[in-house]
Amino acid sequence: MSTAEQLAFSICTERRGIHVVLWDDQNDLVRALLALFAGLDDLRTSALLLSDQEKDLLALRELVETRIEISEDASGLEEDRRLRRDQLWILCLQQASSIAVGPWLNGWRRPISDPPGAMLVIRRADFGSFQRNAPDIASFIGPRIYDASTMLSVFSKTTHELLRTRLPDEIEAVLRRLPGTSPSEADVADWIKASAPDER
Amino acid sequence: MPRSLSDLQQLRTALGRLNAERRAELGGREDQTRYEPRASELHKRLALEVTSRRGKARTLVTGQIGVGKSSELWQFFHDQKNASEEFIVYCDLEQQEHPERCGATGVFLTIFRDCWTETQRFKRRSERKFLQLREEILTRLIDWLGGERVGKDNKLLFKFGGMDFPVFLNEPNKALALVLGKAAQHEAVSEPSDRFGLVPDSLVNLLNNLLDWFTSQIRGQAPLLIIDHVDKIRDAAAAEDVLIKAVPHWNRIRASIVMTAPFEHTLGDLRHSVESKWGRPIMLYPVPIPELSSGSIPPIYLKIVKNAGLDALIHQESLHLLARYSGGILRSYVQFLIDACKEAHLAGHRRIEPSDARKVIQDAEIAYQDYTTTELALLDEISDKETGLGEAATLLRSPIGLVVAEPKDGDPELLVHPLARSALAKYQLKKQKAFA
Repeated sequence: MSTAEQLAFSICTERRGIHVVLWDDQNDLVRALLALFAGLDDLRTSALLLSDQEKDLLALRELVETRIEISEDASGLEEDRRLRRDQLWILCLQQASSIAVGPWLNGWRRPISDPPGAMLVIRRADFGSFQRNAPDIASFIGPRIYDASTMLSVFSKTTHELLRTRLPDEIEAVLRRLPGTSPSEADVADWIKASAPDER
Repeated sequence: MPRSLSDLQQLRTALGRLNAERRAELGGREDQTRYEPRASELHKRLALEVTSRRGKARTLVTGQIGVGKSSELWQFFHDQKNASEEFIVYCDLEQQEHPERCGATGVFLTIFRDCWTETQRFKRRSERKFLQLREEILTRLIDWLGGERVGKDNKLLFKFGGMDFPVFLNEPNKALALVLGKAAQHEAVSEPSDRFGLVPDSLVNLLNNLLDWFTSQIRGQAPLLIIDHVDKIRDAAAAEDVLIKAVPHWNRIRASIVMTAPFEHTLGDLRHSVESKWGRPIMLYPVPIPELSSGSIPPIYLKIVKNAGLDALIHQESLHLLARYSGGILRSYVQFLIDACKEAHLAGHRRIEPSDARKVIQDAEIAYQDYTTTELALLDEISDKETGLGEAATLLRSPIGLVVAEPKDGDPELLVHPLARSALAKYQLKKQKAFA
């Protein structure tokens, strides 16, 4: 079983490619993401919810196009676009949306895997369907599959000190649209306290 | 001090020599796997096709995901560039595009875009004939794509998907490259109803004029177009459009064409139509899968490890495990090496120990837990009868359940991927219990 700290290490060391986080319960997912964020060092993130709604697909396209710019002067990318291009993309698939979203992600596997890469967050039950509908991007994942439900709450002292009780607003907005409910800030604070590494 | 993967700098150095998402190339730039030749007939067969049917070869190359098609074609491109009398253009359908449901017009625009980019290799771009050709192409494209000249400042305005796309004609070579690039991208991404439709004959003629210009510049044979990533067209209607319906258009192009094809669309219902138009596709097979019980391992696995500087940093048993469970799919093998390096580092190991390799294999097996009973029944049936590939599209793709291995006595061998075996064994056991 892996830890969120190992996931953060993998993302920060490779700084390219695609990692996957599977989840069943939003409580587990939130804890995994909190630990991940504590270990991401200086790597900034950009999060999107991907569903079959047109506005979500349009947002994905706009994000992807920051890594495949075709224009008169590519070096003149606006600051905001350049920032988004250079962030780790956290792409959360809405439940049961793989048939609509999978082929889009599949065709854009190259920009999505370009440095610093992306992390796909997928409901456990949807992963099979995702692989069938996005076989080419799935082939880029390989063994980089992490399961939030079985992730151990084991951290180094440094990570523990960096743990926050809330995720960035952007991620919380995405989580609100996913099934289930997030743990309260008080619950998270208790969990952080209970997960303190041994002082030895 | 002895080298060790527990050292972060050493880990980064090793990871910088391995990349599972991009083709392997000779030269070994940073962030790239170095290309290693394999024992395959692919290059010989391609060279024979191209030289025996000068300017008229029409060949498909296919194979399973991650098997190394792009790496092999890129190497073939380089070998031919140095040795042959043809001008060779490498066209990349994944460059700035979305191949998933790209139709024939998108592929054509990609060819045109990449041919235009190749004109940069020539110095004589100021000669009258070239300038005239450029003007004709631009004029025809503006007409077809509905571009408008704006004001007096040499500005052109196109609308792609309702969005304005301005291009300035001050540098016409660059402007043409931009228009072709954007049009190819639009054609691949947009809904069929928003696409430009069939390519006008006049543009096919202009592409031919450009190809003729290449031929005249090198005073050689008609060019060769290597069109990669067409195999990423997964939409059945789009694949049929490119592989079957558009063949008369491809036949009009005055160049040899080597194109990758989606493996599943060269099987089953489309097999006869595809083969009647292109001949039998050339298949790239996975490299041989080593048995854990035998001590030997095909040399390519060792060479990849050596090129990454890992030869002293991997236990023999780990090497065997990773090679075995890659199923001969080189992308998987490189992914396994990358992850095993990270595992070793996190475990504080100097080298990749068997426990690190097993952890990586375990992680990769997660992808196989989601096979449906229908897929497992199919895998069971195919592995038993060694036939029925046409219905097994999902088993040939990620996660690969079925490996189509190099033929031993005529037909390709169908092997269950080592990572799929435990899921299949569980299914077979349950089936036996149900019948008992």
